[in-house]
Amino acid sequence: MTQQNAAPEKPPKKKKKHIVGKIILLVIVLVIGLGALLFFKVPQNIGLIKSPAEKMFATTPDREKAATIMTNLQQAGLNTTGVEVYVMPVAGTNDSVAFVVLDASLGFDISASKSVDPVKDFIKVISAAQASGVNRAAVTYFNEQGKALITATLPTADALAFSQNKITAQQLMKKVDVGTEDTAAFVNEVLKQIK
Amino acid sequence: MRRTIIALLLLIVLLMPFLSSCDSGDLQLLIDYAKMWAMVHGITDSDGHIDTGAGLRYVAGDALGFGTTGDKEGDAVIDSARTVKDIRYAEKEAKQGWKDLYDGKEVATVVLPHYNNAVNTRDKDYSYYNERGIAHLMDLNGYKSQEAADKDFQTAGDMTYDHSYVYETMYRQRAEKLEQLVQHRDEVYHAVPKRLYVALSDTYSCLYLRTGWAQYKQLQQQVDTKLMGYQ
Repeated sequence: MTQQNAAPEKPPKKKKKHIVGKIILLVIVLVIGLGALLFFKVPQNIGLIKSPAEKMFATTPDREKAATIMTNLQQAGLNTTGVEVYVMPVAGTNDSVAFVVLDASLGFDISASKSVDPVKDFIKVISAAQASGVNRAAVTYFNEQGKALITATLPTADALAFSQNKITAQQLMKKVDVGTEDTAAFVNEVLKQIK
Repeated sequence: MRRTIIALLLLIVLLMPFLSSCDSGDLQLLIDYAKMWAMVHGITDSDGHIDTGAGLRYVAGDALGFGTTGDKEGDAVIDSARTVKDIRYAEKEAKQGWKDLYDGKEVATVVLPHYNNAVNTRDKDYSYYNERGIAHLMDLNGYKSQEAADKDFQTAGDMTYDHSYVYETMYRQRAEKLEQLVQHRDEVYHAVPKRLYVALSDTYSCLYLRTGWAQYKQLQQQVDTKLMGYQ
């Protein structure tokens, strides 16, 4: 009688183990899925939530300041074919950011510059923009297919310090931050350049 | 930013063996700066050899979401590719809309769709409301086009009212666009719709009230004189 009673008690234990295992697996899958969604910025890309950049740079561009920067780039002998400048006020502050777009699909070619040192001349132009309230500059490179490959940014105060020889190129590079949205396209571009 | 460093490490790994063979001056210059960037961020040593430990720490920190420039604006800028794309698209649409308006194309079917795209993409940019408002004014046979123009001008005003300088800039932008169109219509078609002059007079009036500058009063009087010819 005792043996007959003990035998049927085992199967439910096994079932419970299965359920716990499934729940753990489900949680892991959910965590990985959520991580992947956030990593690939799916909510931002489908417009579910706005990225900090969208909130920060939502207002009207300052076209007068942008035109001044563009003129200064031309006067410095830099190639401005395929170059666009947008000066975006930062919402809720007196700051603004100069976005310089270098678009190879619109004919941008760094080697077409008349300048001896285009990087130095570019930094000089950007540093001059600080006087008109531009406190940060960003350069975004679009490839021949019009894809945004890489963005580099630096505060204009550091650009000014560099152009006045107060800091070295190494110290300036320390202040430069770089990012990319499309790693695969970026690596492809690098491989293409190497070939 | 999260995917940033991974890509940059890849770049450096891929570029290192080829750096010395690069003979384009400007490209070489960029590569030199990239090498310097990698070095000062501890990804490579002064000889260009990758510091695996530092690289891994960078990648792991970044992948886990700790990657930051240390500055809120800097972080936003790094992640701004989509915003820049939106700005460019909206600007392109607005430019095309303005060109079509200049060329006298059908407002409702050709011009307005461009401005609607610009407004839908960047709905906090007053300049698109100003320009779409002007486009509505040119839709002379359009149903309630005057009301639509007033609504757009009102929206542009509402979104800038709290910031004195921006509010004035908004009116100046509207005046500038109206002046351009009035001049163009006068030169090419020898006919300027009364609505444009009315809007221009109102805009000068607002600018005068905001700034107290006599030149705006004079400009308004000149436009009002033109308007008298319509009565």
